[in-house]
Amino acid sequence: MDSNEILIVGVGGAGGRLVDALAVLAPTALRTVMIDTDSKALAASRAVTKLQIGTSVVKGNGAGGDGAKGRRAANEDVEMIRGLFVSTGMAVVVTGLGGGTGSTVTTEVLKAAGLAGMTSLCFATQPFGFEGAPRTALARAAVPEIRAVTDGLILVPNDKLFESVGSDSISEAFPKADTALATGLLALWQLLTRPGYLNAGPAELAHVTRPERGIASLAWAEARGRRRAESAVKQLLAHPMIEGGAVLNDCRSLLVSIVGGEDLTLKDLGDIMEPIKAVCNDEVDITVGTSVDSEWKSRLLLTLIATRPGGWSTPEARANTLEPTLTLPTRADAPPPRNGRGGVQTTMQLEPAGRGRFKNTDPTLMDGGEDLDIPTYQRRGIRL
Amino acid sequence: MPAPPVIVALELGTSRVLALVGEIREDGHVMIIGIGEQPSQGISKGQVVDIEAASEAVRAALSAAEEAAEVTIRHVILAISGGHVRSQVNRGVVPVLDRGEISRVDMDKAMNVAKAVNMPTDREVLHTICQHYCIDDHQRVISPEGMEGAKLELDMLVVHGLRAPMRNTIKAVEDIMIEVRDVVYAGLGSALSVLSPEQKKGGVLVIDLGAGTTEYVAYAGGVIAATGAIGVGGDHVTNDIALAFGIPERQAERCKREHGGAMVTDDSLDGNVPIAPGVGFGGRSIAQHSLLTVIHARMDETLRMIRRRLKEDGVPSHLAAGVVLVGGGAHMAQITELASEVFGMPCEVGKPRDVSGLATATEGPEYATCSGLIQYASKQWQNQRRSKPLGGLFRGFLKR
Repeated sequence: MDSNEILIVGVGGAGGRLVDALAVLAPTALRTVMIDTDSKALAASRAVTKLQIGTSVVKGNGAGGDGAKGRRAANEDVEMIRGLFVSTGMAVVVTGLGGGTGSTVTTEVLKAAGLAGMTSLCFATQPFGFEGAPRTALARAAVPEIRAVTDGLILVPNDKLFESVGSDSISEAFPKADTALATGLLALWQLLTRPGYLNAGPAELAHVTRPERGIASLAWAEARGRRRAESAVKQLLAHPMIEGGAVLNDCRSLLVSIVGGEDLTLKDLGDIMEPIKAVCNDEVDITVGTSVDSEWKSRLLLTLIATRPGGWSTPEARANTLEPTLTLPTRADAPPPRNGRGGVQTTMQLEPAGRGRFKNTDPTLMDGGEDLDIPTYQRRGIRL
Repeated sequence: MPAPPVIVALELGTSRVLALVGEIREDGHVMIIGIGEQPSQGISKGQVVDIEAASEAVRAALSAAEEAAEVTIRHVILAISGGHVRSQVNRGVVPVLDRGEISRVDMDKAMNVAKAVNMPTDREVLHTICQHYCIDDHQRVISPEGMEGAKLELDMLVVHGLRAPMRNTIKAVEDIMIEVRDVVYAGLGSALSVLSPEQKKGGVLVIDLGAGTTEYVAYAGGVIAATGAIGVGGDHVTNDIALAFGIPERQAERCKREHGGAMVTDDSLDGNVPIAPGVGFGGRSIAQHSLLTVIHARMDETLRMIRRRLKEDGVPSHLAAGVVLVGGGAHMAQITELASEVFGMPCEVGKPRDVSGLATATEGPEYATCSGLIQYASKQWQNQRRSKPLGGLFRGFLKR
C-alpha cells in the first residue's frame, strides 16, 4: 500500500501529542491531520493538516473534560471533518479517551472515514486510574460508540503504558510514553507500507481487529545484535500490555508484525513465533506479517496486536498495577482546566443511539450489559 | 366431574393476541373448534405495558373466538412469556424412612425440598418440573416407588420469572372478568405441542421465535434440562431494518416478510428490493444483500446467545433430535439453515401435533404455544378424571 493512502489523524490533546511524536520518528513525511478544539495546541502541532472545530462552543479553548461540549463541537463542524476524508485507503485515528474532545469527537471522525469508504483503525489511550471515576466513565461510555463505527479499536491503558516506560520523573515519563506508543504505531505503519514476503495489509489488519472479536491490545519490542530474535520476543512477552500472557491466552485473533533488515532469516521467524504460540490458546487465528527494510539491518522490531472479547479491561485491575512512584501530573496541559466547575464533570448526554421503536422502553440488556435494542449490525460494526 | 369439555388457551403476544378454543373428545383427542386473533396493543417485548389497551385486545380476540366456536368463554389457560423467564435445577435430598423401601411419602418429601427454592423477592416460581430421582448417588430413575435405598434425591427444574410483568399479564385478562384457571410458560407450551415422545427421549431444542421474545426449551436425557427466554424477537429485526435503511416501520415489516432471509446468499449480491411508498414516504429500493446482512446479524446473535445459555446450563451440545423452530419467526426464509449452522444440528420447523380441527391452527408454527396449552390442560383433565395424583409435571403457580 502506498504511504499516501494512509492518513493518520490525531484527535484531542493526547491524540495530537502522539501524532507529533510519530512525526519525529517517521523516516518519511506522513500524511497527518490534527483535529482539536484548542487553538493553542493546534498552533504547536507538527501535523500537516490542522482542523479547529467547535469555535463557537469553546471559543478556541480545550473542551475541558466536558463530553457534551466535545459532542457539540463535533456536530457543529461535522461537514469539515467529513471534508478531510476524500480518498480511499486507511485512516488511523489516534486519541486519548477520558477527555472532552477525544471521547466524543473520535466517533464522528471514524464515521466520516467510514462514509468516505476508508478502512479505519482507532488507537485510544485509557485514562490513568488516579484520574478518577468521571474520566473513566467518560472513556468507558465512548468505547461501545467507537466500536460501532470502526474496523478495529486498540485500547492502550495509560497505567500500563507508563509501566512499560519505567521512568519515575513526570517530565520524562510523558514524552517517553508518547514516543513508546508512537514506535508501536510506526511499526504498524511500516507493516502496511513496506513490501514484505508475508504480506499483511489493511484487510488483514482489519480482519484481526474486527470489532465483533472484541478490543485489541498492542505490544511491541525492539532488539539489536546477534541474538535479537530471542531477545525481542522475550521483551515482547514481558510487555505490560500482554498482562503476563493473559491477553494472548484469551485472545481470538493475533497479528504479529516483524520488521527487519535483509538479514532477517526464516529461522528468526520460527524463533519469534514458537514462544508466542506457546502462550496462546489453541483456537487463536494468527496472522504474521514481515517487512524488510535496509534501515533495519541487524535490528528487529516486533509488534503484536491481539484482539480479545470483553468490553473494557477492568479499571480496578489497572488501579492495582499503578506505578506507585507516579503522582498527579503537573504538566500544563494535563489534566485540562475544569472551567470553574470545581472539578465536577457533567454527565455526558448519551443519545439513545439507534433504538428506533424501542426508544421509550426499558433497554433489553444482554448478560454482559450490551443493549440488545440497538441493531446488531451497528453493535458489531458491520458495513452495509 | 367438574372438568371442562371446552378449553380456551390465550396468549398475549407482542404482535397479536390469540385465543384458541379446543374440545376434548372421549378418547382424549383435542379438536380445535374456534380461533380468535386480534393485533396486540399495550404489549411490548412480551410484556403488558398498558393494561387497559391490552384488555381491549383480549376482549376482541375472545369475542371472535366465542363467535367462531359458538361457546361462551368464562375462563382461560394463559400463556406467560417475557425475556425475564429463567430456569434453574434445584436438588432435594431426603433420607428414606421405612426400612429402606422408597414410598410415596419419601417422594413427596423430596419434591417439597426440591421445590423450596430461594427466589429474589421480585421473582416468582412459574413451574416446578421433576427431572429425575437419584437413589444413593448413583441410579437415575424416573419412578423410584418401591425401590431400595437409604437416600433419595430429586432434581427439579424450577422455572421462574419477574413477578410484576407476570401479574400484569394476568390482570389484563382478569380485568375483563375472565378467570385465569392456570398459567403456563409459553416456551413449555410450544414444546408440549410440537414434540413427539421420540424427540423428547433423544434430546431436542425447541426455539419459539416470537415478535417480542425468543423462548427456548431443551430436552436432554429424557427430561427438560433447561428453559428460558431472551428479550429479543421479530420486532427487533423489523426495527433493525427500519433504522438501517431509514424506512418506516410498516414498510420494514413488510420488507422483512416478503424479501427477508436469515442467511446472506451469494445470489443476493446484485439484487434490489423495492420498498413501496407509504404515508409521508416516497418509496425507494434497497440492496438485497444489505437487507440480508442486517437480518442475519440479528438472528445469528440471538441464536448464539441461546447456545451460550444452554452451555452455561450444562446442556449437551449435541441433541439427537436437533432443533425445532416454532413461532412466527419460523416462517423466515433460511432460518432453519442458520439454526443448523449455529447449533451444528439438523433443524426443522415444528407443527402442532395431536390436534385436529381448523387447518390454520393446526398447521402454523405460530399456533404451537396455544395448542400446547390446550394439550396441557387436556392432560391435566384426563389425569384428574382417572383420579390419579397429579404427576407433578407442571404446577402452575396459581394452584399452589
